[in-house]
This record gives sequence, C-alpha cells and structure tokens, in this order.
Amino acid sequence: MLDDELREQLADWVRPIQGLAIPDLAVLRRRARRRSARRAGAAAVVTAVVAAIAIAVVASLPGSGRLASSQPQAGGSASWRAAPGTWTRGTWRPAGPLTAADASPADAPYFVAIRGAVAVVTDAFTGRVTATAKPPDGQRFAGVAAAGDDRTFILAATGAGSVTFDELRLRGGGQLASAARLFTLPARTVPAFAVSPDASLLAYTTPAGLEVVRLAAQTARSWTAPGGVLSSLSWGGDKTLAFEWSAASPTAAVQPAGAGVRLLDITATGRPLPASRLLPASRLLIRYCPSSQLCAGGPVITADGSTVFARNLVLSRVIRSRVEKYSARTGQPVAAVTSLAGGGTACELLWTDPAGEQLTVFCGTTGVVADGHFSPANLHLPAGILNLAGQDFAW
Amino acid sequence: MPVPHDDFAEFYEASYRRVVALVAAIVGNRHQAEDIAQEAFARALTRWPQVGRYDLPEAWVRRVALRLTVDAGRRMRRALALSAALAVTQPRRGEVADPLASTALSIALARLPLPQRQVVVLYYLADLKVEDIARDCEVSVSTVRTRLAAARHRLERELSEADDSEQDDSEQEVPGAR
Repeated sequence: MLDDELREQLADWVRPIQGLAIPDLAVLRRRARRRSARRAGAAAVVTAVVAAIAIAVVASLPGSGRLASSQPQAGGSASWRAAPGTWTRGTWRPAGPLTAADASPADAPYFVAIRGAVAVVTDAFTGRVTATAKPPDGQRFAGVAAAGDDRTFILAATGAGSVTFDELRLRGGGQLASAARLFTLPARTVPAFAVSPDASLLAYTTPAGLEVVRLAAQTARSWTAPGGVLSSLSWGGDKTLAFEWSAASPTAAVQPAGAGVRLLDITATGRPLPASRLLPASRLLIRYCPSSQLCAGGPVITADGSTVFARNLVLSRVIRSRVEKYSARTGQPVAAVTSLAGGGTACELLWTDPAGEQLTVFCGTTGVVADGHFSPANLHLPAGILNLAGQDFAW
Repeated sequence: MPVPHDDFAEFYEASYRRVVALVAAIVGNRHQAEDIAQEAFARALTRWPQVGRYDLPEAWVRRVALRLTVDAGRRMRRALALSAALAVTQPRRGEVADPLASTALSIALARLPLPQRQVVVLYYLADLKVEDIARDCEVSVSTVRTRLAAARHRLERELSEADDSEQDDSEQEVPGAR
C-alpha cells in the first residue's frame, strides 16, 4: 500500500516537469566556461577568502555591529552600518500611488509571478498578462516581494554566484514603468526577503540570521539567529518585522525554545541587543506547537504593525487549517478568523488591508476573509501559487 | 576519435527533464533542481569525450546531480517541508498540479533525511534497482537497503501518528459528538 502511494505521489509531484522547456545548449557552455575559469582561479579565490575572513574578524571588533548593539543606545542609528554588496546609486525611490495622470480607471490589483526565469505582471481581476520583465543575461529571477502601493516590486535574480535585487515599477494598466538595479550580493541562492510597505526597507535572511537594509541610505543592520531559521518575513510599517522562527531542520524532534511567530522591532535600542542573539531582540507572538509538526506560521502583519494574522496547521492525512488574528501589542489572539478543513487544503495568507479587517487568503481557492467568513473571490492568481520556494509570487 | 558534439545535444535533450524531475523530487524546488541539473550537464559537457563513451552517461550526470543535492538539501529542506504542508492537493480545472501535493505522505516524505529521501526517489520514482542506486549514491547495496527500510519505517510511523492526530483533532473540534 505504502509502496503504491509513494510511486503515485512522486509521479504526481514531477508530472509538471515533463512540460519544462529545455534550456539552450549555450547556457551549459557558459556554465562550463565559468566553471573552468573558477577552477583556474581557485588559488586566487582561496587567498581572497582568507583575506576577507581576516577583514571580517577585524571588523567585528571595535565599531562593529555586535559591539555597537551590545551597548544601550539612545537612538537606532548607531548600529546601522554601510550595507554589504555592490550598490547602484540613486535608483531607489519611495513607494507611492500612481499619479492621476498615470493611473487608469480600470486599474486592478496586479501581481508579479516568476515564470521560468522571467517576471510576469498579471491583472488579478482578469488574469490578463500586462507585462513581462526579463532578467539580465546569465541570471534568472527567483523571487519577488511587493511594497504596499500595488506598483512597486522587488525582484531577486540569481546567477554567476551572486544575487541581485532589482526594483520594478508599474504604471497605469500594469505596464512596466521602470526597472532598476538596487544592489548585488555575493550569494548563490536567493534568501527569504520582504520589502516594507513604503519600499524603504528590505529584510532578507542570511546564513547567520537576518539583515535589514535601508535602501535610501544604503545602510544595514544584522541579527544572528543561531539554532534556527527565519522564514515568512512580513513588514508592519517601517519598524516591525514579523517572521516565523523554527528549527533549522524540519526533521528536528524538538523545536528550539521560543520558536514560533515572532516580532522584531528593528529600531529597538533601549536595552542591550547582543547581535549574536536574535531571540532577546524579538518578541514571541505565537508559540510553535509543542511537537515537531509544522503549526503556527506564515504571518502577515498589517501595515501599521498592530495586527498579525497567522495560519495554524494541524497535520494529518487531511490537513486542517485555521487562520487566526492576534494583537501585535498583547500577543493575544483576537479571533479565530476562519476554520477551514477538508479537501487536503491548507491556507496561505496573502494580504491584509491596513486595518486588519480583511484578509486575502488562498485555501484551495482564492478568497477574502471578513467578519469571520470566507468568501471565494474571483481573482486570477497564478496556478500553483503555493510554490516550493514560497517567493515566486507577490502582490 | 572525438565524439561528435551532436551526440551530447541529443543526450541532453533526451535526459534533461528526467534529471530535473529526479532532483526536484529530492530537493523540493524546481528552480534549484534546474540549476543543479544544468550544472551536472555542464560538467558532462566539459568531459563529454569521456562521459559520452560510458554505457549510461545519464547515470554519470545523475551521480553528479546527487552530489550537488547534498549541498542544496540542507538549505532547502525547510522550504520543502513548509511548501509540502501548504501546497494544494486538488488543482482547479485547467490548473497545473502543484509539484508538491499537500498530503500527509508528501509532508512525511519532505521530512525524511536527505540520504533516505535520495534512495526513496531513486527507487520509487526513477525505478532503479538497489544495485544501481548504490552506484549512483556511491554507497554499498546494504546501505541502500538499510536506508530504504528506515525510510519506509519512518513514513509508516509518521502516517500513523498523523492518523492519530486527525482523530484527536476531530474529537476536539466536535464537542458532544459522542
């Protein structure tokens, strides 16, 4: 029985891949050339890495984020340092609504989805593709996050050992207004990331924990999170970051103490914030379920940072999913927004209005939760939006 | 005599999707699977005069890809488990099924340690014999058998716990049902 189930399950998983486009041989040739170049320069790279480590060690001493953060500060600026990566100057602009001249009366919410290597803009009401954006040569888009104005998106592209963050702006009708490179990081994989509603802050995970970048000032602040991983980042204004923190390995029998949905005040400096410890700097809002099963997670916080929605999963042969509403201030549940069970359907929280009165969710079908009731909504969100990486779609 | 380059193109066309599917089932991320598969094929391309003479060049590519999944696996396991929990089981009409369906089995699979997951995928998806899996994973046949048995045992246990959980949950959610 189990054998048959396994065969069937695995075959179902990979069936969509049978329609996958096969990249041109030129892609492989470029990779092969890069690999040869890397091998030839291996000694130089090792030397550079050793030097970089030495510099990092030196930099972590006086004046580093760790030491600065370990001392009580009157303001938040002391622990911000020059942001890592290679930056393009003068490209960032704050998020904002379309001007009257640019807006179209028919403008609907637009979403951006990663399809293959390109980003596709789609009218959520009609499903019409309004624009596409291609990544630079040798790269592929692999993640997208949305600001709060329905027209500003941050795209992450990966390739050649680096991850780049680009800003995409839409104009009326969902057409591309501009695309600009923000910065490039040396990294092989795209981290989890989120952009604040005003597009001023970008938070992304690092191997050590979390980094928050102020895009206009090109400064950054980091927190380390030993013993766990962050995921599902969501900004409440420009001050509060909600996220899920849990064991690094999903096979872990026990979750680390304090695992769950947490809130981080990125400006808090009124007490020591050891940079080596994330947890004291963030507040536990919803505790993970006691077993190793996945439970509370996927938080979405309102733009004013006052209300957090989270899903609770009860894992069984048929997944039961509940959506709950919490006060960010007290950490207490305000309401069980909805309880949806059956059909093997889990819920993904997509968006909430600033007041936290409406929540758009995907529970097998897209809908809006208001006054405790789920109503299906005729939104043309992409098929398979609950993708593997969880970052292939934003609106 | 050098092997004609066209041979590689033909081999690549014929086997690319199979390798991507295999890696996707292991790492749980299609984009990463494509990245890994392309890297493995790129390595095959640079060694094609040699690899092209093997009886099974695809096995060589698969072996390289499996090694690459070890690096990728650690990073991706959590994303995999999460998305397995969140993915939808029944696609709407006209939709493409999500590669990870949200059944308890899919979640349990996602939570297997990578070495066990590798052998499960090679055995149940690629339909390879344990001897071939041992060659691809560069371990002994007995190790493959041990990993398969451990994986089956773990899956059965987790599914059994899931059943219990479901029953408990039903009892809690329907007060007065008895």
